Amino acid sequence: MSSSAPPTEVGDGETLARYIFWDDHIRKDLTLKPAAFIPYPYPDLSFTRHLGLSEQLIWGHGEEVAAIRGKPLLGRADVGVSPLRTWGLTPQAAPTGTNLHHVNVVGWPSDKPKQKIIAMEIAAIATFMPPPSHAAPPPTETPVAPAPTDEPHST
Amino acid sequence: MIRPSTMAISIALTASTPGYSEAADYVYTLAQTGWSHYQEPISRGHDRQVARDQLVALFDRCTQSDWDGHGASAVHQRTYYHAYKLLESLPAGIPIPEFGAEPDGQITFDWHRSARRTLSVSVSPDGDLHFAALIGTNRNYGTEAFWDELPQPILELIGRVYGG
Repeated sequence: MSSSAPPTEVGDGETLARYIFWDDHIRKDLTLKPAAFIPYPYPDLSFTRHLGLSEQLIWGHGEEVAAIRGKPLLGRADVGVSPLRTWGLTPQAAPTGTNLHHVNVVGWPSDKPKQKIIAMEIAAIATFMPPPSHAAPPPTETPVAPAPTDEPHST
Repeated sequence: MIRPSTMAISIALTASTPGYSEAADYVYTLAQTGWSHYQEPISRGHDRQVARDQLVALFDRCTQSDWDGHGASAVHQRTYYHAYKLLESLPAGIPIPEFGAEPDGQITFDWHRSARRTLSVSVSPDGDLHFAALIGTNRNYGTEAFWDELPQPILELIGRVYGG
């Protein structure tokens, strides 16, 4: 996955993506549950900066993480940086070997109820995006006949 | 519907001690299931049975650590035990919540009406209920101990989520 390195400082106007791999984190109305934003087992939360990335590259980084986790990529949650700061969190650039846009959001309280209320605030403003493969296929103008096959039919 | 036997109810009453053992748990859970069915109207009983099934399914999915592929803790049997009892403690008329698991192995009960009318309760292995709620511009969060009855502050928050 190639992309140029973004500036180290994460700007207030930037948007971050958190990849979603667990279907219980997505409600039926395609909003997100706070559990998707609870920092564990690490004291921070991983995101990918949109800055300078095409949609294809943003999704590509998600697919890389999916391959590492061995879980299907179910979507992503897009969140603005500015609200994160109002809740006392700080996005810190933490580029990896394959994702130069990776950030860790740090500054989480250790107290579980305080973590939950922040996770709930993030869930309330996050925009869920399903992966492109889940989008409906474009309509075709003319019906396409099935391709002939040389393989024998089994009866 | 199978009515619980007098014996089962008796076991339920005698098994509901604060102490914890897996055998007592198992018997208690079986007996409670039957007794709850006996108490409830059919429609409510059906909803609650669906909820019980969902809770069991969730537990089954999260009994191994790393269930999220990112180092999540397993949901412990004690956590499930408290979650089950919390479900059973919901008074009639309270909406059945959505269940989920958090990466630290806690089971969540979510009552969600909109982004700013929402309550999430995390059940911990030691029976603590960590809750957070957004009600309009108000934020509420804290911890309540669970002693087989839904704590009043959480009951009030559920009311505010679904209130006018």
